[in-house]
Amino acid sequence: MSPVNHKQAEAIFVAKRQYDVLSASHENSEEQAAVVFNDLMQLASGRLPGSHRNILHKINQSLDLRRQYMNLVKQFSYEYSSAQAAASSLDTLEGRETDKFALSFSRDPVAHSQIYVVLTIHFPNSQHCTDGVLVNVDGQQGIQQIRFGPLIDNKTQLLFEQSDSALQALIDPQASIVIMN
Amino acid sequence: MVSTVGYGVSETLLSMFDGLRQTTISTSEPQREIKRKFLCADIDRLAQYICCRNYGFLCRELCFLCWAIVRACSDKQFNAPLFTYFWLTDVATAAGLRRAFANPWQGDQDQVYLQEGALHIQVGQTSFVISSSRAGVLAGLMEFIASVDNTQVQHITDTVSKGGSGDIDILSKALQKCLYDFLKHHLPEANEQSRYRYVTDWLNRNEQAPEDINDDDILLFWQQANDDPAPAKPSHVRFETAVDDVLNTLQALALLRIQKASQRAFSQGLDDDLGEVDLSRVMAEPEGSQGEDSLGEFVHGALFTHIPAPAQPNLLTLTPKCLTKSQAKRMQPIVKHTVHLGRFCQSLLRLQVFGQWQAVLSQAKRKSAASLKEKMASPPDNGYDGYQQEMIACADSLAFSRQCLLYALLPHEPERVLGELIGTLPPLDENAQQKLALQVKGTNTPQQKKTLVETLARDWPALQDALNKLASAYKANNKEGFKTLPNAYVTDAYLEALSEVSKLQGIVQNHLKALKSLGEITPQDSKFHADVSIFTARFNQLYGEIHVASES
Repeated sequence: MSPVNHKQAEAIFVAKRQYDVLSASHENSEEQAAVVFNDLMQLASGRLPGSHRNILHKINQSLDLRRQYMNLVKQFSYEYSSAQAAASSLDTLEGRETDKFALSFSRDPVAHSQIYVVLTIHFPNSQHCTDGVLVNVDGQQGIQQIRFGPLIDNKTQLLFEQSDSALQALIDPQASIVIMN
Repeated sequence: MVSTVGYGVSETLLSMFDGLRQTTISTSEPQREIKRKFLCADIDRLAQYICCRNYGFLCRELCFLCWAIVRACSDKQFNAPLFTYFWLTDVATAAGLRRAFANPWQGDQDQVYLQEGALHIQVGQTSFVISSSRAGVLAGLMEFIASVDNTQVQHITDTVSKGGSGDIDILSKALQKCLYDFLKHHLPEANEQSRYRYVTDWLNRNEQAPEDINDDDILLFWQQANDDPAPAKPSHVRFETAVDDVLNTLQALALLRIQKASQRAFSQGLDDDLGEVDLSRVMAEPEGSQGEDSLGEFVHGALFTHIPAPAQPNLLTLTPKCLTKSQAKRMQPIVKHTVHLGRFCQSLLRLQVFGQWQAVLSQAKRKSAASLKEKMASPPDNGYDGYQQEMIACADSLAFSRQCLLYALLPHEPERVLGELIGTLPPLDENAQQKLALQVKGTNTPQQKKTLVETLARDWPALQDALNKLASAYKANNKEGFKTLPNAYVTDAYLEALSEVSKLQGIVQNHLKALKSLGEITPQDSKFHADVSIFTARFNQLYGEIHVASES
């Protein structure tokens, strides 16, 4: 038996060995599992919470996944607002406005450390009014997902502690804000 | 640099398959439940296509499916039918595919329609049929391609939107190339080929025919491979690697022989000397005429087609949890070498007992010389009998899990569960059988089925007993997936687990039978003590004090 004639047996050997590894090695640990395209889609469409299987955390750890995710988010967005030139700070609490939505902030008159974020959608779709509005924010601290409640009179609001990273991201003029469809 | 630690499979590819297996989707309104997207069996099937490098036809099938989706599945919300089909609906099942294509579509010369559970696609002059049972593996392939290179999704959309069958062919080639380029780095063959060659060279040198190899030869191979000073030889330090290499080589040679023999039988009618196919003559046939594609098809056919799908113990560590991780790991070697359970029982036994000890030693060596010395002084204490007890415990776990699975499935799949149970009960007399058949005949609705189970149990005490046993087993089970009864939406996972449990029960039983008859031939005690001295000597040489000293 000379090895040169063994192409087929060799191929069977290799395929069996590699299949054994591929089918047996999975430790079903969340840490080691790669983020697949499905995870990006489900997350972008608001069907999975970002904490599920640490997906959002994994996306934020990889520049490539972050870029892919933002591309998807834009593709399925209602409105995309890129980084702003205007400076803003926690003192002035400058809002953000496009043709399709407006974001404004107001400090609670009593509890000064709490800030209301009011989101107005000018031409909402039916989901916005029944399920709420999903907002993706791509800021300096990575991507965050924020879910607002259903719109009433085209408006919905959330209350944040000033130190909340989600609030920081919404206020940050450098952040891109995507309102999902 | 791509790292391929495990037998020529890259870390990236491994974690992608982990990701595929864990992929979850959330259902549309109103349930909003999160469940696993793919059946484990479908991901395994995808792995088979990929490992055999037989994904040409699969890519073509996917292209036709996409062509049909873009036309026949409308998507008013996003106007992106491919995205919606593959990622926003529960489509990785046959039922999902049938739902998506419920409405037929008709173009000028083209059409898409469902008939008898298969999707018929007519693109100009070309017709193509996709069985709905392919839904899972095709969705898996799409997921895999999109995760390898997500720009492909847009490329596929653009091409199939405009294209006829010619474009489909070009697209299918492009997808194949995309996979090929990825696998070139993440699933390289060269190292593994050298392992095969090393074993066949060894067989040649010792003038051994593959049919004559026995357990002691495998031990000898491991010893000699470790004494072999050749610098470029593949490593066989682990006993497990040596066993894997020899058994896989023998299996490959045997499969090749069977394939060739059956091809010959096909081409020449019934061949008189079918039973005496000369291996060397068969092997020497020129193979240059075969392209890469048909080689992949050949390999896939030899390893996976027409035989039951390989068992997957790891699946049973997910929800519903039937085995502990360590039990699943313990079963891995016997699952891997199912075809050799009888002939190489002794080698598998050695592998299970001394392979585990070796793993402990190599861990200890990394820690400290003292720890190594301590571990070296304590060989596996319970010997071969201890292992047999361990396997019996595994068999018990499987039997227990089976009862719990049946109980969980009873409300959703009463026929299936009754079928399983009735087979185990003492047979009924003829009258009772007829009565039973009549009762079963009239039941169609879920409510009727539920009542049927109740009536049957009332009239048939043995069945009632069996049902009671299931219930008390379930009650005693506190593992993941058995705390509250599952709803109809997740029964797939229970059905899949049940079929996996059945497969493993068969394998474990065969293994135990082989162990028992092995024990009858030679007393396991003396065999074990002889093996201890062989393995201790070799392990001392591989890990022992001299070795530690020279390395530090």
